[in-house]
Amino acid sequence: MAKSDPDRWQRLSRYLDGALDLSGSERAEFIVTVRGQDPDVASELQALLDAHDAARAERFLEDSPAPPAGLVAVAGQTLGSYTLISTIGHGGMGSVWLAERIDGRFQRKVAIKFLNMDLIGRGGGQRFKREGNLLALLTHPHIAQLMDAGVTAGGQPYLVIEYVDGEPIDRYCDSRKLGIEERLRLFLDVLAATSDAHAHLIVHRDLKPSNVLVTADGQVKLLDFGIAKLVDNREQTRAETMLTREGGWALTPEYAAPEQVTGGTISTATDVYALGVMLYVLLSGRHPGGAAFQTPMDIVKAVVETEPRHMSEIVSGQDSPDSIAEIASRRGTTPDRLQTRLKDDLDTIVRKAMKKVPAERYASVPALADDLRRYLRHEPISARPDSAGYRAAKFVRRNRAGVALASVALTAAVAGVVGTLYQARTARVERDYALRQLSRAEALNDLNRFLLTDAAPSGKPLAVNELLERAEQIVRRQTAGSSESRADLLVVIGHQYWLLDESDRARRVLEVARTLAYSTADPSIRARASCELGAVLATGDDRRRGRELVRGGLSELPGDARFTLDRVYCLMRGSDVAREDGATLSAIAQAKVAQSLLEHSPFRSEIQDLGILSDIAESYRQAGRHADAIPVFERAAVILTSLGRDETQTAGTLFNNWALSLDSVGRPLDAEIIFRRAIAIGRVDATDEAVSPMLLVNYGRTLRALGRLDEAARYVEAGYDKGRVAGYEVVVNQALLQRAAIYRERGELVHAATMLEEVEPRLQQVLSPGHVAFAALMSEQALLAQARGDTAAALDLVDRAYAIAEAAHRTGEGADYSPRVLIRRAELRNAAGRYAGAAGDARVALRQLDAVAPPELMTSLRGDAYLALGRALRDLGQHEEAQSALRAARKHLDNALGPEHPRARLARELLELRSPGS
Amino acid sequence: MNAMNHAAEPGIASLIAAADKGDGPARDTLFAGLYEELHRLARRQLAGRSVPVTLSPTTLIHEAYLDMTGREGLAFPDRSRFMGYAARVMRGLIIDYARNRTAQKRGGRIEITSIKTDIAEQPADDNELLRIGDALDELAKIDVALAEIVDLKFFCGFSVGEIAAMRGVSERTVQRSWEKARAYLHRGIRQSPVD
Repeated sequence: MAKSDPDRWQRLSRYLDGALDLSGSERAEFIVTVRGQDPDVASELQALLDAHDAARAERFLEDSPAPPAGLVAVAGQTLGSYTLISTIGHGGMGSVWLAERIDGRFQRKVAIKFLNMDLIGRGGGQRFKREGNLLALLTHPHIAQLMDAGVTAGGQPYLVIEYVDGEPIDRYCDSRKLGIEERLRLFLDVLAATSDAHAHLIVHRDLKPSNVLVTADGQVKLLDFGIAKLVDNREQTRAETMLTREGGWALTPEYAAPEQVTGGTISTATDVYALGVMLYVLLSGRHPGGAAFQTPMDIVKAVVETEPRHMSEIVSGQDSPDSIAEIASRRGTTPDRLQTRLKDDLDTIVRKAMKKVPAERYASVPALADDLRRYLRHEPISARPDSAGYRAAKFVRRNRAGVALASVALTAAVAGVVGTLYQARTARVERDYALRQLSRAEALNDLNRFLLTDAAPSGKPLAVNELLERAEQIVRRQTAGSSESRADLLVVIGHQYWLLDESDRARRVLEVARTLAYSTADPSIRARASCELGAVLATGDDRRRGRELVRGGLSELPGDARFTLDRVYCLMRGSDVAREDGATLSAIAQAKVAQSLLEHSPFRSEIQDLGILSDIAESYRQAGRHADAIPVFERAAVILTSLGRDETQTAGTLFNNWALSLDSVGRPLDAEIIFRRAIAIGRVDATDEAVSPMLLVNYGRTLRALGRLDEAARYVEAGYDKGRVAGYEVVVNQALLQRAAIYRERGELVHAATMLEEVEPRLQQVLSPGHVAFAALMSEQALLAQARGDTAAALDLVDRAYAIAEAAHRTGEGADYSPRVLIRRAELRNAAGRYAGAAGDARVALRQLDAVAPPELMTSLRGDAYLALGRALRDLGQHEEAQSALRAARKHLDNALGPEHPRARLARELLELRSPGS
Repeated sequence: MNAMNHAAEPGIASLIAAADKGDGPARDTLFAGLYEELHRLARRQLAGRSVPVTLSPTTLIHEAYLDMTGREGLAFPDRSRFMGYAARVMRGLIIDYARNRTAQKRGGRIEITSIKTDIAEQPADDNELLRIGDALDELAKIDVALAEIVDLKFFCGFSVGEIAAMRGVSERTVQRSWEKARAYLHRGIRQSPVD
């Protein structure tokens, strides 16, 4: 950067004026002249001229930047039960308003702080509200109470905070010339407040004098508590949050802890650091960092590497004597006496709070407070001073680049176990076990953190793969850490690969994990490794070995409650295996056993509920019991949202499956909404690039059910193309079927036929002839034949389709397809004049639907069945029953498809028709 | 949160005069007032729109001038000075916005991003915008007038002619100043370490 010297710049500026008037050789000569006269600036002049040319060539700064778009507040505006009065400042995050209650009920004035909308990412509104509610629980006399949090109609988040009329603590102390003791006592209030928050697991992250106000009557109030945590759930990124600005917009770096600057873990130790700096300033009147911060690199260096000066050095050091005298007088003492006070114990305390490595600081705020109180009582303090020659170890940033997504059930399980067992005073075996679990928890901390913060919503699959690879490498290269914890990590990584459909990788990693696990004597890791590998194998080629492994894993576990979570884990894997095998009843049963085990265990948590709910829902869905699956999906979705995880890849998959169930049960309107959510998650930058092709086709199917054919075509074709490129056969086949249906409904029968001709051999290649997919194919072929006027062929095809569907229904597979085919056949029979048969089919269909869905559920399937029944009955002369059926049809179709849908309208029209002769 | 004194609200004119003389608190008060005003006007521009609308900084600044000085009565502030300060505030708003957008994108070491930007294109890269802001602060330390030109021209969209009229100098002078400032910024940005 250029030197900050106005005079030098003035010289440069004049030369620039001269040079810019010239060009080419004249300019070069000019520069030579300058070099002779004023060599100091000549090279800089050249640099600037080059920059000028480059800037012009690049059209640098030609276009103005995009200006902000956001909603802001106005005086007199009402917000909830408050009226805004006027602004009382603006922080780095947005504006702050003074406000009072509308009904004047409580005299208390409040401060309403609007947070800049851009700081809250997508889905942040929910998270924000939830954390706001958490913070409102902090009711300490020394904390400015957060009274409410919300989001305006316009989407702007705001906080309602107790209004504090006070001075920053450093100014308060200086203006009243408080001595060391008095400052320490005031500071103890600050510590009391901070430790109260820590007890609530809230870290302030931005402690500094301007956030610690003291009112006129000496009452300390902490502000902006946990707001940094509210706004930015992720760890602070580096310097861009640290740059100081005029007008006070940004956060200040002077109180930032090393881990905040380098992007490490934020914890209560971070607050301890900031408190240490604050104490340093309060006592010595100077900042420990010394010189003013300049560029981001300066900040990083100073905070992370440079050891602070001893406080006593401030007083004796090179600072001008005047300012030292001033500092002393503001503390009610003289420079010499101050220097003496600031040595030894106080210095030791402050330095310990400000250690670069978090683990070396005071372990907690109360610990710091205790030492200060000992000092005040003239007792020996607990902190040890640095020995001569001690050098703080350079702050090492642990490489977290390889963090992978962790299995939900596993990490939660570990956290739960650690919490309880570690506190138990039990036999050594128990304690050793707990210690192992603890170190396992430590080892999983990185993974935990990524899961629990989940900074990034679902990204492109490739990026996640890279992460897993790196995680894998890191785990393998680790020589420290026990075999148990390494095996654990590998199991988790393997599971993730499996979820991402990378079965080969998953298998490879899990084989290693299992070998490693069996080299230990730990039953829990052995069980998990076996079950995980077993699950992957069972869903691949080696089903038998897979099943054996899962059984073997379960058998590793001793009976006692300590292993409940492991058992749950294995049962869930067993459920996966059963599902893959098509033994859906067994799958559901195992999942339910797991669920009840968990319900009665003290280790239950929302995260585990989520995992289990998702699995149960999926089991129902694959069993064709969509009406059962849907409420379970809903519950899972609620938990996802409350955890703030509803924009993750997991959520995307859940939404896709949920929507599929909704579509299958015959509620396409609902399905459409949920599909859109799933797609929104998969989207990266406004394109569908990263959205799974299967999801695109699924969505297309629903759009078609809603009659939105053009949109449906777009999505299905997009899914088709992507599926072809990726070689996903299942997707391609599904897409072909859907395209056929779309073409047929648009009247493009030739195209429809082409699609069907293409898909038939593909299905035949991979599926057995009795597979439900053929029922779907023939059903579609039947409709096509009908569209062409060939009723006989249509009827024949639909008969064959029904035969397949019925057979599948009896084996418990594809139970949802049979009613669909029956309804098709009823419609075709109506068209062929075979009303009795049609009515019969419709009735059977309705009975089958009633068997799997509650009677009050409105579905398009029921609607279509009633419609077919109504038409058949009318033509059979049974008018009253016909009317009743048609009324039912209209009710269902209106609700499930919307009243504007052609079939809903058809039902209405048929109802209004006068039947002949009545 | 600053507890600001509401008792005596000095007029804009005197605030500007004091700030020009280097009065720090007066300048803070002035900036705060301008910030509030611009926000209020921004809201008006956006009121009733469900779709995010692109604000026009130029319009905002002019409205702010009319609005704030209209309240003054007799003592008319120097329009040119007003614009200079207001432009500085506008720069801050825009850069803040860019900084927040950047902070969102750079969540941690893993660069998976998934930002849904309703505003289609950003002409100037957000990161670059932050660096421009830094460089401008440096420039302001050694040549306030030049920094102000960048605020007025680049961030607020004033034309060379308008700036010339405001300052009572020739267009050529303004153009030349703009080129010098641009050269300084370009060099500063290309030189600074990559974050």
